[in-house]
Amino acid sequence: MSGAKVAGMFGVAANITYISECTPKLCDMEYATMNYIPNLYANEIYLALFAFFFVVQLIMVFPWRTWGYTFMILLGLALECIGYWGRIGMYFNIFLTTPFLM
Amino acid sequence: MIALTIAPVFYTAAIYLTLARIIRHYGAHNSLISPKTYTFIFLTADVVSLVLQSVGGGVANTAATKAGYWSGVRVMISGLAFQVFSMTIFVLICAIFFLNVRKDKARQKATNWAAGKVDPPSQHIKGYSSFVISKLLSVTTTPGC
Repeated sequence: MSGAKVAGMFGVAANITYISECTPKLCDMEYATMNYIPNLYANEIYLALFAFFFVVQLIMVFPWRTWGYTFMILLGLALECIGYWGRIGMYFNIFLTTPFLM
Repeated sequence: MIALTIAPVFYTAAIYLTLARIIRHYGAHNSLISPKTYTFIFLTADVVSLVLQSVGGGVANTAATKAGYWSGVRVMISGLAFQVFSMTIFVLICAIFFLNVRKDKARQKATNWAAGKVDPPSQHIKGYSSFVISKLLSVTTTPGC
């Protein structure tokens, strides 16, 4: 397992050694990256939407040839995809820092 | 969450580039600032808010103490606030430009009519009004993300 060692700390269940083993039932939300768990379906819908728009924008650049505009929009859409992917990760484990940073 | 906060910066950059093209099409005399300086000013403001947001996010997420975390968060929020501020200025300049285009068109029509000339074929961009509406929508919704 990975992450910081939390064994024996306040509000942590006895069988937990590392933060990655935590679940909202076993650990205090004080150790979580946020104090709520994001909704899975909402974030999946956003990820699907932004991925769809990314593909559409990528195809549209060839007939319209607006390189600068499309480059900026594609960067933005890619970042949104990464962000919502991270939020889906946060739904599965709110105690990890990597999905939160994404 | 860093990716989600800095993504709108790129959208606004794309919007700024689009308006520069539109200003060139309808004539730079309608705009307060020339398209070149305008692109320069707003892209610089965009880069500033991007740096503030990503640096703040980085500081907040690597901070060892609660105080360090909150100072990072404050830097990040100031980046967001700066983005909203530059966007507000942008919207005002946009509004002045769109009103000037309307006035300019009416004036040209009147001069043509007075001189007894037939109006030349319209140079209006297809989808101009849908651009204005979608721009307003995106500008009002992106800071809320």
